[in-house]
Parts: sequence; C-alpha cells; structure tokens
Amino acid sequence: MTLLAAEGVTLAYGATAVVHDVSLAVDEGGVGLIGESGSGKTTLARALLGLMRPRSGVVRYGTGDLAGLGRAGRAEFRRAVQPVFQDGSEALDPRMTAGASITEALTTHHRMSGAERRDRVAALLADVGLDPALAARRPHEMSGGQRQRVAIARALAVEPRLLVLDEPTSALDVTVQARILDLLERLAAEHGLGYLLITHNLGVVGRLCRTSSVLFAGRVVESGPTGELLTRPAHPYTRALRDAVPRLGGEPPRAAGRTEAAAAATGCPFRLRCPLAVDRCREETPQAREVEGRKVACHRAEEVLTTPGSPAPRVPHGGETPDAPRQ
Amino acid sequence: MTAPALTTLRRTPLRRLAGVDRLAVAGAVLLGVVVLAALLAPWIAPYPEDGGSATHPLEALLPPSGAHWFGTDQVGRDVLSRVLFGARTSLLIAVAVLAVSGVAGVVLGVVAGYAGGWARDVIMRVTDVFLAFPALLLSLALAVVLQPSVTTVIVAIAVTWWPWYARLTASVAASVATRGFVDSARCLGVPAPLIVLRHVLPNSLTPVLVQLSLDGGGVILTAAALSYLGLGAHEPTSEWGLMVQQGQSLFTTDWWVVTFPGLAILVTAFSFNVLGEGLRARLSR
Amino acid sequence: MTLISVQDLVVRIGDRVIASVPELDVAAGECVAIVGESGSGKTTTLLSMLGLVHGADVSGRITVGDVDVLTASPARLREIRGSRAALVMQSPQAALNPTMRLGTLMRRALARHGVKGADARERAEEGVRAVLLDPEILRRYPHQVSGGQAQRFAIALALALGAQVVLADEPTSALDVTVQAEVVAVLRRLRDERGLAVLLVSHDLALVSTIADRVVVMRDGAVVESGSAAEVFARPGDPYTRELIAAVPALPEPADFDEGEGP
Repeated sequence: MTLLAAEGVTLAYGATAVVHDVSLAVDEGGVGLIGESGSGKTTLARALLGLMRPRSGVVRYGTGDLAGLGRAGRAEFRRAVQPVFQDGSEALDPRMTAGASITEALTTHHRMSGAERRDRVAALLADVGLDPALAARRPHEMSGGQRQRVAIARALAVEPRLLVLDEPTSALDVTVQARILDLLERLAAEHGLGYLLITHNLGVVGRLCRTSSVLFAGRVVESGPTGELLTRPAHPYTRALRDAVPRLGGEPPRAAGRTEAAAAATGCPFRLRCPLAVDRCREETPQAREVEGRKVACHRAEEVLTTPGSPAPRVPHGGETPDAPRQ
Repeated sequence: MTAPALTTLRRTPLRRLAGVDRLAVAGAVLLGVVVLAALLAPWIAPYPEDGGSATHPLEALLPPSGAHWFGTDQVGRDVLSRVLFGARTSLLIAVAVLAVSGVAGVVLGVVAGYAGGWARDVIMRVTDVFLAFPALLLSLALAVVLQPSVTTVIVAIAVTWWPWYARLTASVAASVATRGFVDSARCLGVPAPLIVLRHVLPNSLTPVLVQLSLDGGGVILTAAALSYLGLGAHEPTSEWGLMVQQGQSLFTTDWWVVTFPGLAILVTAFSFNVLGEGLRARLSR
Repeated sequence: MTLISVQDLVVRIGDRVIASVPELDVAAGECVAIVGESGSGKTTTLLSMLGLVHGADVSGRITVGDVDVLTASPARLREIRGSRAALVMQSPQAALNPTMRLGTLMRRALARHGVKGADARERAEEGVRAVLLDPEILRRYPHQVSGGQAQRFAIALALALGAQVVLADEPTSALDVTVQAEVVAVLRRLRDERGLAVLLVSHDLALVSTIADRVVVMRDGAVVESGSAAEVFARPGDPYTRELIAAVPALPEPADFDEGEGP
C-alpha cells in the first residue's frame, strides 16, 4: 500500500523551480531516489516531510492531501513519517544529551512517567546497537556513527511507519557506513518500516531498495526496479552515473563528460550532456513512457538499452578536450 | 566506530585556549571587584554618609591624604566614598539596561528569526526605524522629554539599545532555524512555541550573551555621558558621570575631584570589554 | 626516479602519536594512495610532506624532489609548495581568491616564479589543457566554475608552475560521481603521460583501486598494511583492510536481483 506519494509535484524557492512535476510513491519496503548535488532530491524530501509546500501538485499521505490535513491528521502524519538526515551532528540539538533528544520524541505525542521514559530510551538505544549509558552524552561527545544511531533511535521513538532517509551515511567513514546500512536494513525488517532512501550512492540503493527513481535537474528521468536500472539503464544519465562509479579492482570509472553543462531549459534537460542527443531532443521534451518494465523519459531509450556498453567516453586518454567550446 | 578520544585532538591549540581563558578570567575578576565594591559600599566606604546628601563645607577640596585617599569635593564629601557608591548607580544602570534591552531584543529577534515572513518584516522594520537615529541622540532626546533621573537614563538607553539585540538575535535565530535539529523537531510535530523555546532560543543565545557583556562598558559610558550633560542622575546621587561633570572645571587646581570617578568609568568599561572579548574568543572555538 | 621519500616519519602531539610511517616512496609516473578513515593520520602524513603540520612534533626524514622538508628554510619550503608539489584539497574553491579571474590568479602565481608575458600565457593555457579544461575558463571567476572544474584548475595551476608531484587530499569526496570520474581521469592521464608522482589520500577504496599503483592502509596513526594495489585488494593481509574492502557498497550485478533485495 502506498503510504506517501508525490503526485506531479513542482517545488520552487522564490521564482526558481528546482523540482518539476515529479511523481513518486513510497510503499512498505524500500524505495530509492538517486540524484547528484543540485538534482532537487533534498528539496523533494522536505516536501515529502511536510516541511515545504509544493508550488503545484500534491503530496499525498494515505488517501489525503498533506496540505489539507486537519490537526489530528497532521499529528498522525508526524508520528508516521520520520526523517533521518545526513549528519547526526546536525540533526541532534548540540545542547541536548542523547537521552533528552530521544525523550523529546517520546513525549511529544504521549505522556510518560519518568521511569517509563528511562526504560524506553534505554530500549531504543539498545535497539540501534548503542550502550544505554550513552544517553548522558551530548552530540560532540559521540562519534559520527553513534550520533547517526541516536538520530535513528529518535526517529523510531514515535513508532513511525515510514522513514525518509536523506543521505543517511554519506558523512560517515566507510566501515561505519556499512554498519549503519546493516542497522537500517534490520530495523526496517523488524519494525515493518517503509523507507525512501535518498542518495547519490548507487551501491547503497542497489543494496537497500527494490525500486528506484533517478532524478536529474529536478525531473525523474528513469524509474523502475533498482536492479534493472543499474544493470540495464535505459536513460543515458542513469548509464553515465553507473559508469562513473568506481568499482573495486574494476576498470577506471568512465567520465561522462561535460558535467559542467547546465540542464537545458528547453527540450530534454539532459541533452547538453548526452552523447546520444539528436535534433528531436532539442525540439521535444521527452515524456516518461513505459520501456521494458521501467518508466523512462528519453526519446532514444530503446537505443540506450541495446547499445552494448557505454558510448565512447567523453574524456579520452589523450588529445582532444571534452570542453571544446559549446556551439 | 572511531574513538571518541580523537575529538579532543581537534581542540589542539591548548596554549591559545589558556590565553583566551586568562583574558576572560581577568575581565571577570576586574568586574567582580567593581561589583563587590558596589555591594559593600555602605560598609567599606570610609564615610558612608558622604555617598548621599551629607556636606562638610569646611573640608571642601582637600587633596588626597590618609583621611581622604581620593581627597574631597567642593562640598567636602569624601571622593572615595562617592566613587564606591557611584559604582552602585552605574552597575544598576548597566544591569537594568542590558536586562531590559536584552530580553526585549532576544524575544523579538527570536520570533522574527524563526517565524520569518511578515512577522520578521514588521519587527525588522521597527528596529530599522530605531537604528536610523544615532543612539546617543535618541537617548538625549528622550532624556530631555522625561525628568532627569536614574530611571530616565535606563529607559533612554534601553530604548536605543534593544534593536541591536533584536537584529543580532534574528539573524542568528534565522540560521539556527534552518538546522537539521529544528527540522527534526518539526517532523516530530513539536509545536512551534516549544521549538523556539527548546531549540532555537538556547542555540541563539551565545552571540547575544557575548554582545551583552561587550556592551556593558558602552552602557556605563553612555549613562555617564547623559549624567554629565545633566540629563541623568542628579544631586545628591553618587554617579560617576555627574561627578566628572561637577569636577571638570576644577581639573587644573583640584585634579582629584574629576580624576577618580573618571578612572572608575574607565576601569569598569574596560573590564566589561575584556570579559566580552574573552567570552567571544572562547565561545567561537 | 623517486620524487617523494619518507623515512621513519613520526608526528606527535604531546605523547600521542597521530601518524607514524616507517617508509613511503613515490616515484615519477606512479600513484601511491594512503587509505584510511577519519583519525587514521592519513591527512597528517600528506601535510607533513609540505611542512604544513603545525602544533605537533614531526621527526624522521622527508624528501620532496631534492629538498629535505624537515630541515628546509621557510623560503625553500614556500618554493616546494609553490612549484614542486601541488596540494589539491577537498574544496579548492575555498582556496581560490574570489575577486580574481582564474587567469589573473594563474598569471600572478607565474610572475612570482619569474614567468611573464606571452610565455606565461602559453604556460597557463598549456596547464589548463592538460587537465582537459577549455582555456576559456581563465576568463572566469572562481564562483563561475563548478567544483570539478575548480579542482582541475588547482592541478593546472601546479602544472603551469612546473610541479612534478601532486598531493591530493580527498580530491573528489566533495564531488558528484560523474565529476569525480573526470578528476580521476585527469590524474591518471597526468601520471601516465607526464610522469607525475601522485600521492592520493582517500577513504574511498573503490576509487583508489582504479588509480593507485601502490596502497598504504593506515589506522589510528599507524600503517597496518602496504603493498601493490593489485596485491592488497586481491589478498588483503590485515583484518582491518578486509573490513574496509567489505564495506564498499558494491554496484549490483544482474544476479543480485534474482531473489529480491540485497546480496
């Protein structure tokens, strides 16, 4: 069942739209949202968390429009949907101990006796793999991984049904990242949590999400089963992303070239970076369409799927420069 | 998990830290002496009655001596006693002004900073109006309209002082409001007034506290200036600015009448500044 | 030819050893990577190559080119920093003067080393081309270029000054993967074609495995393992190295998805 969904959502800061007409559904289980910096992924997360109103379109919680929820409906939404942000040191009040932060979450919707609170805080800390004695520490007295665990415990304190994870591990050391991902995976299974995982890291999405959407310049360019997307991308941007990821002991990552090129204002937004762009891409904005089990917004998706490997990398090992003046 | 001990390494410049703390401590000690002098004035002043309306015309303008360390003034009052009692007036003014303008500024600033939108616009426009006038000029105008008294000085200075704290707090609170822990509290459904009290206010206070302690000296100087101009404390209240004004014409002949209250103003203003600078350096680490 | 040589390097703050490297050489045309997590001492090790570790006791012997770093005069150290070795940091934009066009910045740096006029312009354009940037970029201000471009410009600046050594501290961890690939391509190319010595500090093992010839793994200030990259990644000897390698989230292969989520 769909818990939370964006339907044709456009988001803007002032006159600048950063997310255009995006639709995305989060159900029970994991959904990935892949995007690089400036793709609008964090802005979209804010809208899904009810921290920002869409310029147009609807954020739907259950069957209702988030903007139209009454007091009780809003309180229920707040209990049901919780965020985990990139950096625990940012998400926790620096002046509060871990225990106080978790207690705040516990007591926002329920009255609780002191003993009950202490028990719940200890249980939550244990649940995220921390020593309950850590309740007395402030954020700066903990490591990055510990802070992120406390932030997760705080989110779990209200017994949510869905987590919005915005780059939950990208500020952490690699070994810590792996442990936090293990933890999230376990908690989601144990508590029956749905989650939206927002990240630039394809490996992380591949591991935790059954379906994913790829965001480029505020638009979903491809969405479908994660495995399909990452092993047989149908959009040239998805493919450029995949090819740029360095693999342990693998080939050097392929530079997709022209990463400086801005998103095009007309036609296909990716066309200035696209090795397959043709005249049609300039003239006609591609609409999302069903191609081999996924939705993709590319005129040439079939060719992307059938071209073996990537088109020639744009940064060669010698000679020509990829930054030749743009025509 | 990385060892928490590593975080201590990031605070390496230990020597600098110690130096900074020394500065703050020096300021606090100096200010403590002034505060003690003010509190204990009735007991430590050699001639407590001279702090008030007593006059001893026969002992007028005696130079410093064993009996009168700081000499006596035109009506024969002990200058040391009056300087000690003057500390009470000056500190009372400083504390009252900082409390009134600090509280008003912080409350309005935090609301403006967190709420944004029209609330911010209204509050900031009002502060702009106040800030458009030179502070001393506005204080002067107010003090002229009101009856000269210590209360007048407090009101006149506080009115010109709060917009600075409102503006400072608003900008700090606005940036605190964008931080993850505020978003996180909003996502929990914590009501806005509680978010402001619990998260925004405590995390916005530090720069304001530093500014308040830096400003203590400025308030004392302004208060002295107003009294000097005859718009503040008046006879027989012991007030440093007033004492300087009364003694200035005598400087060439009876230097002690003006010098000691002048020094008292200097030392107190200086100690506030040193404390504020020390706090700033310490807290901005 | 060995361009960087380190022997018995120990960096201490008080009694605490924050980095200890018994031996490390980087030859021309070679990329050596120091791998580790935060607090491993990898950045300290890199900064000590340029005499940039402050507030700590540094002992041992460090040679960059023909300069003994630990005994060199401040003037000599400035010379290494300026023209022998290029330091590429995580966020180069912060290091570029925002009020100057990149070309002006480059020209001033060259002038300080006595290169002027047409010669300077030629060197500048050549350096920029070597990092696969369009010379047009020299007319822009730092805020008008992307993070990846700024990163490559920082390398170009060093090249124009004749640097033979690039010291890169997490040069791509603030960049998007697509941009990261470009910077890595540039570093590989410079190593292969110009014989630059590259010392790379990174926590990203996958990235390191695609460029490094040799790897030094550090933890808590000490070297736990070192050797050829191929060897270390294929047969890690130390348990910590194995943990690091296991922690790299692998890109899915088709087989991973036959039975639902996760490997």
